[in-house]
Amino acid sequence: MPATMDIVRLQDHLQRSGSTWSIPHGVAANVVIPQRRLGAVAPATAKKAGEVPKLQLDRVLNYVPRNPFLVERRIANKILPPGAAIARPTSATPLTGGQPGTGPREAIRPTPPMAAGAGRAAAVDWRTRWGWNWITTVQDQDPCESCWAFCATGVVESMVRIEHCVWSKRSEGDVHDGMGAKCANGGWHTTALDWIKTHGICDPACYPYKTDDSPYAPTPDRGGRTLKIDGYTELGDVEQQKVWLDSVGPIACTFEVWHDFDVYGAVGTGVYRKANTPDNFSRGLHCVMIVGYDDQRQAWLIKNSWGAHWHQDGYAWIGYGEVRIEDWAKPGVHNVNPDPWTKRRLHSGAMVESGSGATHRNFELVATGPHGTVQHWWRQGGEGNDFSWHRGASFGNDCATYPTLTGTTYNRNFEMVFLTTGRRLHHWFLDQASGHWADGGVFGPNDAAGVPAFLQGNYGAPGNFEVVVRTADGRLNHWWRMNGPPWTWHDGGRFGGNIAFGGASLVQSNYGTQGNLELVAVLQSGQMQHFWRDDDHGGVWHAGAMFGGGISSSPCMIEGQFGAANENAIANFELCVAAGGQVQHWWRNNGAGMQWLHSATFGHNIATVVALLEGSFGFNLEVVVLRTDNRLQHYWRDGGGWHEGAIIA
Amino acid sequence: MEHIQLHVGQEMVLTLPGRGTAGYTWTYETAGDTAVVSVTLGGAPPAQQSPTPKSGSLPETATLRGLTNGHVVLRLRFGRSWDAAAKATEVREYDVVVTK
Repeated sequence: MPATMDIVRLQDHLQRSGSTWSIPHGVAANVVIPQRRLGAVAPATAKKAGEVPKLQLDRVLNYVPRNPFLVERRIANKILPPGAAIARPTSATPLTGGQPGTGPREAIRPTPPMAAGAGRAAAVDWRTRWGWNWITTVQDQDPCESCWAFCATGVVESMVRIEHCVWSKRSEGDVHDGMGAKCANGGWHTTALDWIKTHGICDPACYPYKTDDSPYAPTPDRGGRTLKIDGYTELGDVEQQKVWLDSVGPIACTFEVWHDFDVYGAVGTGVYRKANTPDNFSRGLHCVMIVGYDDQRQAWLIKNSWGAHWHQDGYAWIGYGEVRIEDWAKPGVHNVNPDPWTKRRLHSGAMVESGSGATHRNFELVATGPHGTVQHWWRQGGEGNDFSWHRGASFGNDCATYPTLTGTTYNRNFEMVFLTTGRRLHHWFLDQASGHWADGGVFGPNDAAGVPAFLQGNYGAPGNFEVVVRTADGRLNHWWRMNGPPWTWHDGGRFGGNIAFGGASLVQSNYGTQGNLELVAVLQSGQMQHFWRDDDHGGVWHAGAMFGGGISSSPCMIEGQFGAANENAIANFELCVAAGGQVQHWWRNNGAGMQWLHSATFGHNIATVVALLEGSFGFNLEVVVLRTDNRLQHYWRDGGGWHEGAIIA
Repeated sequence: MEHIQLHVGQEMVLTLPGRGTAGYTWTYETAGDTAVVSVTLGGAPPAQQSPTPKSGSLPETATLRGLTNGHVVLRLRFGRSWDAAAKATEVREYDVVVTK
């Protein structure tokens, strides 16, 4: 096989070899399928620190990040001018009744403690910065020489968390094996980042880390589930490395492992400084992440890749200038572009945050238009403080309610399902390769009645589509499509009863090994009811708690990031629903109690909530409502509470 | 078990694969007349150190020196010494005889 291969050549190869593998529809013909040894050539050595000139960081980082903590730190370090705070399209005055909810799990982010102009922080620790953890769990390269892949992957993961406020575990095996490396091969973090720049990096379910040198074989939908980076910035100046750690995020480094490092790892405390004794000897060069520093300790805080049992939960302090840790330039990454699979639990309803735009945080909204059409809208990600909404394509002729939109692993396509005027369901998708919306066909029951819930789940790769819609008999009907030939939809059966409104309220949570399906519907009594499907035990739907009252519209629900201490934790559910002309925000603390709690009521003249998402704007919740005058309006919640945003259309 | 014959005062260097950057180290124990040989763990001989290094482990060594007449069993263990729960991934045993 050639070193690189597109879909057409891969199809031909599979056909000739008699393979039963299939290529999913919706993948553009020119999408490059990664193969082993894609030509990434390891440099003889990484750049020495002295070979890298001092950078003008205000030019490298010439945009306003949307994590408000970063904004403050970049102002403090004079990377951004004073006053470069986030501007939002309307008043930042919190709405009446829009105060954040109570309880530790619902706590809105703490107020940034630093005053602008304070200069570089004397100490940084991204494990606990501003009361939050920004670092994925400690991994273990055991027994391979793959530290370079682990630290590059870890840096990218942390930058997704910092810049987009979402956990995103990436696969060290993807970059390691994708480069054709063997278990015994050393390497450089910059070589790994070069490969990620060209090919992206996928999640472990697409291709895991393995140690047996088996062939590299990611899932066929890899192209749609890779996180992308534009490149990396090499920092040679130690002071600039600290400024980067303070105002951007973790960096990668190389140092020399000496014999006494094992002793320190086992029983040492404090800061590691090499013993200058005759029996000490060098055992090789090691790449790790630096996740902080402390000028008082005179040390870097490293995240090792030897498992959480090593030293202090996998972390250690290495003294400044020790073991050649400042010999080589240290690469950092910024402006990462997460994939839709990473964000799959963070949106429901008619809007997603896509990877489009210069900083990869555009909003994409689909709404009903005249004569049964669907209208695509999109919003700038705030570059240059531009939050304007723009009209996209219009298509279709049988749309009866607001569509439910998601981003999928089909080449990052947008896919939607809506109720038709003929009481069925219609699937459309935006083919990212062509930029055109395509008709995916009509399916579903003959008596669908309401806004459908729709997501891509994790059964298979590309994952199945799962739809739940209320039917005219007051029940909920589950439909699913296996995303392989012949791509037919299947009736998964009906459940529940006395349902008045379904909605875009389906989440595949990370409960269980497979991930349960979770859904909230509105009963004819006006109460809401939580349903869940136990996917580890037969996939049976169960009726859960009832809560609220007086509801007469469709809810939207997500599993956000509040309450998730790391990438493996189960985060809170967040739900917004219209009642009495206002929006009610509910949440369930999935860390303790699992009770549904009413957090806030806000807004005015609201008929229904059509979208809810948690995006890249500092863990804010973003809501789009349909007003009683049939106009669309944006609301959002930040640390100050709920705010009224722009009228979109 | 390999056999090693040493004279008193004679040295032998065993070159061992390294995996230091994955957290592995060599440790040793002796059984029998432990005074007959000294064992020193060390780094790779200069000839085996890469002139243009990249991240990755260097070979390591165990240097044996005969001290006095006798017989000892040397056991070299390769594992993560800082992880009490981890088992050795490799064990090498040598039957060492030291003579005048």
